[in-house]
Amino acid sequence: MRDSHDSGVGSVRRRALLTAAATGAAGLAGCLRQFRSTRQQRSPEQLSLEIHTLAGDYDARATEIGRTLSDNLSAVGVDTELVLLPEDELRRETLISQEYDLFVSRHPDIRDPDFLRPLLHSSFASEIGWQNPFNFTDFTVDELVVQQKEETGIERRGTVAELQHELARQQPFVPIAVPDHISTTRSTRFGDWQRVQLQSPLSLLQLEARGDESEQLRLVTTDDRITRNLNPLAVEYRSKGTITQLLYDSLGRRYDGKIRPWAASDWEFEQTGTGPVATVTLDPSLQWHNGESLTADDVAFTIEFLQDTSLGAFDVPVPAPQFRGRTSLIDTVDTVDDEVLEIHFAETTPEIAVRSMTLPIVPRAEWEEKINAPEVAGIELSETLTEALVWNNDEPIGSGPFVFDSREEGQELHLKRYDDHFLTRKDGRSEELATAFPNGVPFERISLTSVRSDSVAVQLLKDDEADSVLPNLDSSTVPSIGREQEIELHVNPSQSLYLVGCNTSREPLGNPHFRRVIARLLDKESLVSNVFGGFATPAASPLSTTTWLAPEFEWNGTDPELPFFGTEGELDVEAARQELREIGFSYSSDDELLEQ
Amino acid sequence: MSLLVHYAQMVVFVGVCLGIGLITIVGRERIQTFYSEYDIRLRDGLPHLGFLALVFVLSMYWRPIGGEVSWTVGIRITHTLYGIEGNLVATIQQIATTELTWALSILYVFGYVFLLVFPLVAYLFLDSLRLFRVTVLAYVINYVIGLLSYTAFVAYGPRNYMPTEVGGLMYDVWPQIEALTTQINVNTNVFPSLHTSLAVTAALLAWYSRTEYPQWFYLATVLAVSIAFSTMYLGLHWGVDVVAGTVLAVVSVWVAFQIAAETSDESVITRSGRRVFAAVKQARP
Repeated sequence: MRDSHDSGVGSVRRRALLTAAATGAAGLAGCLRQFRSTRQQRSPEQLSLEIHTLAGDYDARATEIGRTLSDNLSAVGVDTELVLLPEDELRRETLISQEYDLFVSRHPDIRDPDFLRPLLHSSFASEIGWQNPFNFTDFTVDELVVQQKEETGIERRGTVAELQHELARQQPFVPIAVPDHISTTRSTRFGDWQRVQLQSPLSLLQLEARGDESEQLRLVTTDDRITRNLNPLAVEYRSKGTITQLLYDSLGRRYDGKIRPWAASDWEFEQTGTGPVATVTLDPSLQWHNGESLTADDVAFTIEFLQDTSLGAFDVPVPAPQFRGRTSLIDTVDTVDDEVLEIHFAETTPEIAVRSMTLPIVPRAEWEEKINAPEVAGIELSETLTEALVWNNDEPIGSGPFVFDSREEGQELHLKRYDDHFLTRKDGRSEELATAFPNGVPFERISLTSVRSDSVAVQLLKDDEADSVLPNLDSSTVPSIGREQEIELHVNPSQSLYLVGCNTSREPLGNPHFRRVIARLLDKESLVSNVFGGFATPAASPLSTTTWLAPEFEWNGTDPELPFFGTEGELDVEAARQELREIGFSYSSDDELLEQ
Repeated sequence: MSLLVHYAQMVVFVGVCLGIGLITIVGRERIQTFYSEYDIRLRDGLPHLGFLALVFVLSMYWRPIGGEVSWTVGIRITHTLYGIEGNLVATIQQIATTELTWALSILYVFGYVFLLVFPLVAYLFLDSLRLFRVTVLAYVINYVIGLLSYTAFVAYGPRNYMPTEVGGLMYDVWPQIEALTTQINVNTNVFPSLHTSLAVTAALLAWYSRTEYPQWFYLATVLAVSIAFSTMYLGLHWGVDVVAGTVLAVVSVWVAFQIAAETSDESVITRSGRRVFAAVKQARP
């Protein structure tokens, strides 16, 4: 009995122990499970974003756009840091290494909607330069940017309008404004500046020399990059390539409103089933600056080289980023003889294909040696770049109307006229060229002086130490130019676009709702009046000010798609926070916007 | 061309000021004493000036390298500097007038050079060259720490951070001077303000020579304060840079007093200089 009793008690106790152990085990397991899930759900921290922009010395407008965005993001609870950089560093961090959250910059050329294809198509995301720096990937946009290059007329116009809608909705980048091109000139030594479109290098050649002292055209710039590097392929150093276009010829050039034969004496387009084919005939007298003759082989080499500067040596092609949009239109090139070549285009229209005629032509003998990976102190860097894209090109050899003479880094650049160029020789020029450039090349030398600020540049003109400013001035200089009798003011719409780029591969910038909020934190109208002094057009679409602008995106005092949270530049913080909450963001008790 | 003109202007301005300073501040008596033993004073003084020149030349080589190092690994602090002081410089600029801008610009460029050069001359006329040695060492310490800081930190001045509110006033009234200042300054070298630190250094040292040169103490103080103010007024430096520059000045002067030799005979630089002079003399008997 006792035994049984004992055993009874014992068994009860044992059962209790077992139960306790079992519950304990379950409890511990539960605890661990809970720990695992909470560990993966670490407590959200304040959202922090960096904005990369140019320092005031390089582009005060970009600085101020960045600062406004930074202030407004801070106001809605984001931990924001504004990072100021010079032009080349900004490009290194945004367009090359793509290590950024948001950046403010200026796209150099928005004339033809085809610029949106390399800028946004997902297949360009891994490339450097203005090739999808946003890492944006979207099915619809991909289809539309490809479709527009294969269409003409009313169809293309429809596709481009649809594309604008899609971009306004998704905001892979926020278009801000198209600035006016402000410049000043002095007519004592050269005349007819009115006729000259100061944004194009060729139009400088249409100037009219006055008197005998006009053998030198003196330009002044606030952008000293051209004095540091003369490589037409270097993406950190080139904007529009105004100077390099004077050193290097291309088959065609845009003058008098259209792309016309330049180094080519003629071309003919033929539409085939797979795309257009252009038969190009070269001017037989073309010569490089070193006296060697320029042949169809050099042209064919250049096109293949610009498509892949490693010439097939690397696993992944390394195209020249500046010209990617244009080289991507070309399939193959065949030389027929020394003067004739055939360019086979991918599926597109001659209207778009003709843009590739403006690629610079470089000598095979020199550039063929630049196909390896660049070396730093004897160590080869990665296979994502070739020497061609990064070398300095200290003594450029082209075939253009000007020859490199000398330079002083950060200070000056001197070019002299190339007397064997077809423009200077004047014999055998086409009628088109003879009419457009009746004086050939009207000056013997070009000097370019680099100064630090716009007011200094204007002063050099006032003191008769310069004839024109390259490339663009801040609107704050307008009154001081206007007051001066001796110098003229020129204001024209430019071909560039200020934008805020979003790195869509970083959270939360991958979220289109969040990007739309960013767009609504900027009052484009007030930026244009305060930062640009009114010398710009606010943009709701990247094609604003072009003939391609869809009518719904015409500016009418406010952004038709994404109006500013607030009025006259004053942010309505509560409205913006409310919108952020609605799209799924939360705030901490200290009003900090939390990571998702 | 215009660069040469600026250098000429500088030499004339500083030269005239030095002349006036010698007559009024140093005085005839000290000049006569100096005249009687100028060979010894110059022999013992020149090596330090040579050392200063050597540091300058070495820094010329370092600057472009330092710039690249700075962009590669430097810490970017512009936003932080703004975060600390906000619109201080923009507020200061609200008092701007053309006359004041001219006055402070001339002070910033020419007055500064005079403030730094005068002690190097005047202290050669003192009975002991110790303060002269301290001055040279303090300048070198300022300069070296300043350059290291420019390499470690990438910082733009207020003019670059808020170009709409803060103007580059000096370049607006006096654009020609840009040719001179770009020769010397890089726009990311703002933290600390070397203009402030060297000017304050000169003023602190003036306090140690107040018995011998009482007027100089007052003049140097006024100049140093105005120059420190001008760096902010002209939109070139943040208030934080000026504070950091002042701290750097105090540290440099203190360290220079610690390491400067008590007598010329104990000074390593002076002794090396003497050996060089002796060797030169032997070489051409």
